[in-house]
Amino acid sequence: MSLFVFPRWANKTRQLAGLFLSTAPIYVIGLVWYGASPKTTDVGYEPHQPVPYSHQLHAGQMGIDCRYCHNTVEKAAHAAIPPTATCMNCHSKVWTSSPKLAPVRDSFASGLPVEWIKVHDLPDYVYFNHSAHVTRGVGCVSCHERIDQMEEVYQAKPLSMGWCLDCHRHPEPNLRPSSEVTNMTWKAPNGDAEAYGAKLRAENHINPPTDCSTCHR
Amino acid sequence: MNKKLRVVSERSDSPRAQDTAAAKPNYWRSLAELDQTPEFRDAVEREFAEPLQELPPDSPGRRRFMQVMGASFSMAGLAGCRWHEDKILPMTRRPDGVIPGTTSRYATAMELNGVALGLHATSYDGRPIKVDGNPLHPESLGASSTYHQGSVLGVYDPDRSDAVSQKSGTGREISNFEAFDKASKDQLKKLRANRGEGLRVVSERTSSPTMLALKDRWLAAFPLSKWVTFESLGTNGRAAGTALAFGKPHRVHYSFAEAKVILSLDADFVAPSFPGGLANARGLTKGRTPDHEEMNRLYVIESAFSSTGATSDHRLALRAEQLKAVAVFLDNAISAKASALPEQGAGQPKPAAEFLNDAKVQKFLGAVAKDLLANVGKSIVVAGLHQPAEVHALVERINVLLGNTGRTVFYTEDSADAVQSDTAALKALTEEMAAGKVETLFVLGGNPAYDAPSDVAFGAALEKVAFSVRLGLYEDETSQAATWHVPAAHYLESWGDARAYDGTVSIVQPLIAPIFGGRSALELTARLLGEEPKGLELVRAQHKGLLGDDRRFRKAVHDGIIEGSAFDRVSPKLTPIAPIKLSEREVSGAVVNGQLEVRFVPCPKVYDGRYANNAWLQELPESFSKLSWDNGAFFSVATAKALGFTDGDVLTLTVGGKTVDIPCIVAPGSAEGSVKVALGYGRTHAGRVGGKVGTDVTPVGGNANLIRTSDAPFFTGGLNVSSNGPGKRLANTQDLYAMDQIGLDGIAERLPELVREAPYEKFKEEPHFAKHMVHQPHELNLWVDPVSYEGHKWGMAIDLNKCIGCSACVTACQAENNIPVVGQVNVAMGREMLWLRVDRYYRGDPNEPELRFQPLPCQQCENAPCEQVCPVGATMHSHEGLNDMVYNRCIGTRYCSNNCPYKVRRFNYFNYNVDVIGITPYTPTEDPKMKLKAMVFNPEVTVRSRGVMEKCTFCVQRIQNAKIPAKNAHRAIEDGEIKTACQETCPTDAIVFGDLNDKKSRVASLQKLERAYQLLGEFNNRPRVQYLARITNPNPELA
Repeated sequence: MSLFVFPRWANKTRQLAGLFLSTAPIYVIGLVWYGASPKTTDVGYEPHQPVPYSHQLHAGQMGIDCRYCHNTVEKAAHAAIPPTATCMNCHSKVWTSSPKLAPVRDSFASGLPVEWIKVHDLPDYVYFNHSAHVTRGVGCVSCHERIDQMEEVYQAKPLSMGWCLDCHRHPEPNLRPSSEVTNMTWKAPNGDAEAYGAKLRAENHINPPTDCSTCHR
Repeated sequence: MNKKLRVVSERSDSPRAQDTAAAKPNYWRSLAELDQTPEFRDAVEREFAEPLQELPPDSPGRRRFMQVMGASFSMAGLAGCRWHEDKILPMTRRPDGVIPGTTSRYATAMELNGVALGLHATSYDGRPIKVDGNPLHPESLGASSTYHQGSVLGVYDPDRSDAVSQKSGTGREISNFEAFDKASKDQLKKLRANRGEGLRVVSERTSSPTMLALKDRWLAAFPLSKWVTFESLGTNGRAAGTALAFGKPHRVHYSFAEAKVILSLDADFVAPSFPGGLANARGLTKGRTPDHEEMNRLYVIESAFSSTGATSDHRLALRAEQLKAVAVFLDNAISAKASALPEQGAGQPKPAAEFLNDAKVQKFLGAVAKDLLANVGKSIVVAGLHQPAEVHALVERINVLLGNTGRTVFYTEDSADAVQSDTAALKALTEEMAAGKVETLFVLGGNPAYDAPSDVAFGAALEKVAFSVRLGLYEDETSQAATWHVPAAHYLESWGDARAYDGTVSIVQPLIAPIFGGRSALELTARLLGEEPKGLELVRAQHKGLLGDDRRFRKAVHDGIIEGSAFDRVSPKLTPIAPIKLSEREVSGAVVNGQLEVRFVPCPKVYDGRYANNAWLQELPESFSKLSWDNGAFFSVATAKALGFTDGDVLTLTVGGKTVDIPCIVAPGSAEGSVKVALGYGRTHAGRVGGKVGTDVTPVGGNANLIRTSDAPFFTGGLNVSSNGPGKRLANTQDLYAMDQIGLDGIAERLPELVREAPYEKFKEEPHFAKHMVHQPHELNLWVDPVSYEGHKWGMAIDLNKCIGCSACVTACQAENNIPVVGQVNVAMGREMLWLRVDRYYRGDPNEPELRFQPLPCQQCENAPCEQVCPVGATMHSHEGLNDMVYNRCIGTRYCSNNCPYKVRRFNYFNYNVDVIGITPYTPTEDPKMKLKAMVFNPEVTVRSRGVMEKCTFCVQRIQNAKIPAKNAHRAIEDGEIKTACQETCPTDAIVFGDLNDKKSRVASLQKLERAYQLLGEFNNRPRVQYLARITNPNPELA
C-alpha cells in the first residue's frame, strides 16, 4: 500500500495561506472602510419619484432659478419642497393634460400632498441649516452637484460628517458671492477658487464652527 | 474662614443626639439625613437605592413602568433596510408667510378656576409643542407655571376621549355626534315647552364673557332651569369677606413691588393657583434685590411650607384655623394706632386665644404690627383664599386702616354670585338630583363625581337623572354615570375668551383643529340653544362693541389681550364689622390626635386632579417634599414624633367616619397639629398615567376628597390618624445620592458653601461675603485651555433671592428638551431624567426651619471634569463654552456622571421613549394614538435612546436658532434675544442667560455683582453659572 504523499507544489499552500491570512485583515478593513462608507453606500441614491419631474429640463434647459421652487432656502433650515400650487402656476397653462402630471393635478384638486421621496436624508441627530450656508455664499452645487443635469435627482456627495468637516475646516474652495449661489456653472473670476474664496472669507467674516453643537443638539 | 458650624438644633430626641449634637449641620437636605435614621444608614450602606437588576417582568412596578404612557412593544423597526425611505409631504397650497419646518408663536390663554393667563403657544408645522407666558398679559408678564407648561402634553394624551358615548345597561357604548345632536334637540324641545323645568346645568367657574352671555341667554330661554357653578377648589372667602368689610364683594389686587412690609396669613400668594400669583411673584421678588435698593420684608404665618413661606424673612407656623384669632389680634393692634376714619368703628374685641399668650407668638405678632404701622401706605396684608370671610374682612380692614388702598392694594368690584359657596350649591343640586327633581342635566367640564366633597354623592345622584350630558376631555368618573358623554376640545383646540383676575380679556385662539373632534363648552351650549355653533363667530359677536372692525379683532387676537378691558379700580368704603366670634378650636393651642386639623390644598402638579393623566406633571418632584408620583399627608416633625409616624408610613386619615389611606411625609415647618394633604390624587378613571380601575394601573396617590365635607372644604378639625406601618418606597428625589459618613461630613461642611446667604445688614457691611466664604486659590490648569472664548461666551446667573421653588422651570425644560418620563419605580431608583432640578435645603431647627431652594442646571464648566474623563469624546467643549453632549458618540460608560461634582448628568437606563412613552418621532408605527404622542416632541432637539448620557445644554437649539438668522441678516444678537426655556417661564426672573463677552448684557452685569458666587468654584471647574447669594431682611426685634 503506497503512502499518500502530498505533491511538492502543495508546499506552496502554506506560503499562500500565510500570505492570505496576513493580507485578509487589511483587505477586510479596506472593504469595510470603503464599502461601508457613505461614499459607497449613500452616493448615487436615486429613488423614483411619484412624478417624473426633471431638474434637467426645468433648472437646466429652461433656467428656472432654484429659489423659484425652493423659496425658503435663504430663510430657513429647510429648502422646502414646493407646494403643489407652485407646480400649477405653470402647469395650469402648459401640459395641462399630460398623464405624467396626473399626480400633481390630483393633489391640487384633492388637497392631499404629492408624496415625494427624500433624497438627501441626513441622520435625525444632525441639524443642517440651508439658510446659514446659502447666505454665506456656499453654492447649491457644492453639496448637490449639477442638479441642472440630473433627469432624476440623486445624491452626488457622501454627506458624511467627515465630508462636512472638510469644508468647515477649509471652506475657501466652496465660497462664492452670495448672488451666485444658485448658479450651477459659476467659476471663480480668475480661475483660482482657492484665492478668491480666501478673499470672500475675509470679507464676509466666514468662520465655520466645528463645535459638536453646531450640528448636533 | 471659620469652618466650625454653628449648632442650631439640639434635639435630644434624635438617636444620635448626645454624641453628635456638635456635628449637627446648620443646613440639611432631609430629616433622615439629619437624624441618621437606621433606614437612611442602611441606604447609605447599599450604595445604590435598589440592587442593580432589571425588574422581574411581572412585578407591579414593571407593569406600571410599561404602561406609564401605554407602552407598545409591537413596533418592529425597519432598521435592517438599507434605505429607510423618508417621504416629504408638502402642502398643496402653502399659506402666505408659512415656512415649513420653522416655529411660530400665537397668543392664546388658558383658564384655570375662572382666572385666565395669557400665553404664547409655539406651533411647529401646525402643531403646538410648547406654551409660555405672554409678556403683554398683565398677570403673566411672560411667565407661566407648571400647569401651563404641562398643558401641551394634554393635547396629545391618547387617553382623551375620542367619541361620543352613551350609557347602555351597566356599560357604555360608542355613539356619534349625529345621534347626540338629535337626542339633545328632542330633549330641549320638550324643555322649551315647559320653560326648563327639571333642567340643570353644572359648569366650571369661567370668566369668559361669551360663556357668561350664553348663560344669560340660556336662563332666559329656560327660566325655570338653574345654572350651578362648581369648582372643587373654588373659594368664596375673599368675596364674602370683602362683602363684610365693604358691603359688596370685591376682588383684591396687589402691587408687591411697591410694598415694604408684607404679611401673609396662610396665603401662598405667589402660587399659580392664587389669582394673579405669577405677577405677585414678580412684584414680590422685584422688591427683594438688595444690590441697588432697599429690600422689602416678608412675614408669613402659615400652616405648612409654601413658596411664599420659603421666601419669607420671618415665618410662624400656626394651624389654618388659628389665623382668625391672629387677624383679630392684629386688627386690635392696628386699629388702636392707625388714624381710623370715624365710620370704621373701633377694633374687634380682644380675642381670648390661649396660643396668643405664648411669648413667641406674641413677640412675633407685636413686631409685625409695629412694622406694619411704621410702613403706612407701603405695606400689604394678604389672607389665604381658603380662609373664612371674617379673616378676609379683617385683612381688608387692616389694609384700609394702614392706608394701603390705592397704593399697594387695589380693589375692583366682583360679581354678586362670587359670595356663594360652590360646594353648597353643588350639594343643593345633588339633593335635588337624588330626590328625582332633575330630569335633564348638562355637566360642562369639571369632574364633580370625583372632586366633590364626600358628603355630596354627585356620581350616585347622576345615575338618577334621566337625561344627562357630560362634556369632558376624558371619559372619567363623571362621564361613567352620565347618559351621554361628549368629548371636549382642549383649550389649544378651540376659540374662546377669558378674563384675567384683573378683568383683562384675552382671546383664546386655537393652535390646532380638535384632534378628536371635540366641542368646546361654548360651542356645545350655543348649539343646544340653537345658535351659531362656531366658536370664532361666537367670540366675535360677543366683542363686537369693542372690537367691531376686523383689524381691531385681529390685533386683539394677535396681542392676546384686549387693551383697556380690565375692571375699573374702586376705593370702597369700610363698613363696621360685627364682633367676630371665635370657636373653641380657633383659640386653643395644641390639639391631639382625633382633633387634628386637616388642610386640603391644590396640588402644585395635578391641581384638582384634572392633570392626573399628565405624566410630566406626575413625575415632577413636589417643591417641598420632593415627592413625585404620589401625594402625602404632611406632618410637622413634632406631631409625627408624638404620633410615632415616620416618612412613608401608610396612614389612615379619618374625618367624620370617612377614611382615606395616604403615605406620611414628615415635613419640617408644618404647624403642629395641622396636616396638609394635596387634592387631585386617587383618580379612578384618569387614564393610563393617573390610574384606571379595571386595569392594572392603580390610581396614583390617595383621594383626599373622600374625607372632605362641603361645609369645610379647605380645612377642618377632627382628623384622626392611624398608621398601617411602612408602605411602598416613595419616589422621592431628595435622599438620592446618599453617602457614607465621610461623605455626609463633607456634605455637612459644604452645605453652607452651596447656598450662601447673609442678613441684609451684614450684606451692606460686607457685600463680598459670598465670594470670600470659601478660599479660592489661584489654581493652574493641568493643560492649556482648549478654546479662547472669542465671540460668544454663554453664561447664566441664578438669583437665590428670587427663586420661589415653584418648579415651572423644570417642566418647561422637560417640554423643551424632549426629556422622557421614567415612571415611579425608576424615580425611586434614582433614575430620574429631569435635566434641571431644584435642590431644597432646610436650615436650622427642624421644628422651625427655614427653607432654601437652589435650581441646578448643568454648570457648563470651562474646565469641565466630565469632558476630561470621556473615553470617546462624546462630551466636548465648544468655542462658546458649552459642554456639548454628542449623543451619537456616547457609549454609556457614565464616567462623566461619576466625575461631575454637581450630579446634573442623566443616563438613559432604558429606551424610555419607546418603553415608557411608546414612541419616538422616528419609530415607524401605524397606531394613530402612538403617532399622536410623538407630536409633542420638539423637532429641534434629538430624542435620545437607551445607553446614552444627557444633560442640560443651555438650550443650544435656541442659541443656534437665534444665531443663524442673526448672522444671515448680518446683525449681532441682542441681549435677551436668546432665552433658555427655564428662564422664559420663570415667574420671578430668577434665571438670566446671555453672553458674558457682551459687557452690557444682563447676565454679565449680574455676574459682576458682589453677591455672585460660583458653586464649588474651589475645584477650579470655572462654572459658567453663577449664583447670587440670598439676602434676608430680618426684623432686628425678632432676630
